[in-house]
Amino acid sequence: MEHLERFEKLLKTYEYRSLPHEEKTWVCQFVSSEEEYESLRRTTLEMEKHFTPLSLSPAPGQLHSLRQHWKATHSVAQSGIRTIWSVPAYAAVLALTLVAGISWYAGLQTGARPVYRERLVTRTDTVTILSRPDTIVVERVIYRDIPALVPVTVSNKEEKKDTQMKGVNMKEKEELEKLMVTGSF
Amino acid sequence: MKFELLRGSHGRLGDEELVGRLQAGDGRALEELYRRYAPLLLRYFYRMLWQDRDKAQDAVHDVFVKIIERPDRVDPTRRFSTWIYAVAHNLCKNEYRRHLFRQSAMNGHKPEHTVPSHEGISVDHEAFREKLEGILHEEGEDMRTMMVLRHELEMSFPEIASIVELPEGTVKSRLFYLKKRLASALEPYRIIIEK
Repeated sequence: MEHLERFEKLLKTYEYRSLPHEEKTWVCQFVSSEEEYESLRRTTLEMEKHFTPLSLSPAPGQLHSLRQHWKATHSVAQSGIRTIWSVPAYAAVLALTLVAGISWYAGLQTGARPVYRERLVTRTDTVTILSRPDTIVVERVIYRDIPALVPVTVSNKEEKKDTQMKGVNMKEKEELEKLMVTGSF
Repeated sequence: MKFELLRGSHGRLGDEELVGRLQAGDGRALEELYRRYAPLLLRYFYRMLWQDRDKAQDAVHDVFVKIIERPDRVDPTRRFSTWIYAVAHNLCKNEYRRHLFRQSAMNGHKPEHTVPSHEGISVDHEAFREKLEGILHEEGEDMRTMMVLRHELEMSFPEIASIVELPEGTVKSRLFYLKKRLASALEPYRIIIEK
């Protein structure tokens, strides 16, 4: 079957009698007799007639209908792409800068950073109080706030919280003040 | 010339380039592919679908609707012409199955293909056509496809082989066998044909 195209060409072109001698020998691989060759030749010619190109053309409105279908199918996707790509470059850069700025500011507000602040550190001292010869010795613990530089890593919110919590030992402070002024309770 | 100008640069592009553009959303690529393939597909479907013009027109429409809806399904590894005829071939197979089912549901007996009669065709042609249709019906849709692709669209054997997904040698031997079968079936009509 390797040379079927050539055999078909011979069938279309020559009757068996008109075939050159070497061709007659060659076609023997496809047919076993002159009658068979002629029979195949008639069929081939008849098929050629049967398959004469048809004068058919696609329906006039078909392409239009397909165009409409294309628009309907692809309009949604295309409009999405257009809204992204139709933005001018400068506007895109401006928008990106704005977004970056907002992100940076938001980071400042919420992010923790190491800072050194002056703080009042509470120190504890013990004072012995003597009043008269027959006195009673009284021992008192004194709490004092001394300013010191302390590294802190806190957010602003936490800082606020800390300052609000400073006046915890008011009662003891009052007692201490009384003691300093009067020397007794 | 004017038509060429209207078609623009797309008319000069190869099928595969047009497919690339189609997949990128270029509607004009679809129009160009339609101009190239719709007339050929119409002839193919007309021969395959009982020489029914309306059915053939609908089938062409269906093929292009498939392309519109899923352009990504066009196989880039195959030639576009091979791919589109393979789609057409499968569409015909489905149509035969539906036809068979409809016929058996309606009549309850073996379906028959009805080919419209052609006035003005001589007796010998009519006999040939009937025999050919009868044999093709018996041989099945693959054989019919091979026959139509070879004789109606004058495709090469390698192209036909890639469409019906059979080895080239098989395609050749089947077509040759069909021709032999047809030749022996037409023997009684020999004198009439020779006239």
